[in-house]
Amino acid sequence: MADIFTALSIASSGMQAQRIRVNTVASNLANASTTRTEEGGPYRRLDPVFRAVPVEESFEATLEGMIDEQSNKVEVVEVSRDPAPPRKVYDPQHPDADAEGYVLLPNINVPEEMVNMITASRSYAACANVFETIKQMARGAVDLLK
Amino acid sequence: MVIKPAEFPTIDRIDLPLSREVNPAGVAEQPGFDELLGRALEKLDGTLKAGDAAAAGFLQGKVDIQQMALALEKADISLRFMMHVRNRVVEAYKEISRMNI
Repeated sequence: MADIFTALSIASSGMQAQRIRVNTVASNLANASTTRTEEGGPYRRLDPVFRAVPVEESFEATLEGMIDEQSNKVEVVEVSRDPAPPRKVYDPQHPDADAEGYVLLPNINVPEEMVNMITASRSYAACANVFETIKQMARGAVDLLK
Repeated sequence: MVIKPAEFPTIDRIDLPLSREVNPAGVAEQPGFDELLGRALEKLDGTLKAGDAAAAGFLQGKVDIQQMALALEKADISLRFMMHVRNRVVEAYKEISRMNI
């Protein structure tokens, strides 16, 4: 049964997903000019993949088919690597330059990452606001018993 | 002149609703209020313990901050609700104990 806690856990899942997104942005910005990675080659941009999952509060609710199909939590299924090719920059002094003097730099666009960061931060704040509002609603309902 | 005594219908047994069988065959047993309250308290205890565990887990870096917030908020709302229920029960008890018989 979808109770008031369902909405709380949905908001919480949104916050969690956005936090993971901020993590990937931080990683992308920090590695904006990293040329060496464990897999070899330049760093490649991280991109979180979100998926909507139905809210399952309890086994009984699932059994009785009382899942609220209108509401979904969000989940990060994977953090994928951007397949876009790395940037090629002419810099013969660089230790990782190839025979022709070109260095392969990560496929990261810093302004784009900043935009992603602001989007994630605003989404996180929105989820936190939803959480706060639901909290107030629940307290309002409970205070009716006074 | 003979006076006939008045005839009253005899009453064998007074059948008050309270004296009737509470649970006739075929009707499912309803849980009593104490049982319901006990179950609710057990659930509340579980929620509070989950909140505690989440707070401890957060301090140990095992639980995310929003998961902790969720668990603590659940515990908070449940506790507030139970407090109101308790107040209501105590009030009802007092009301009954003050009743003049």
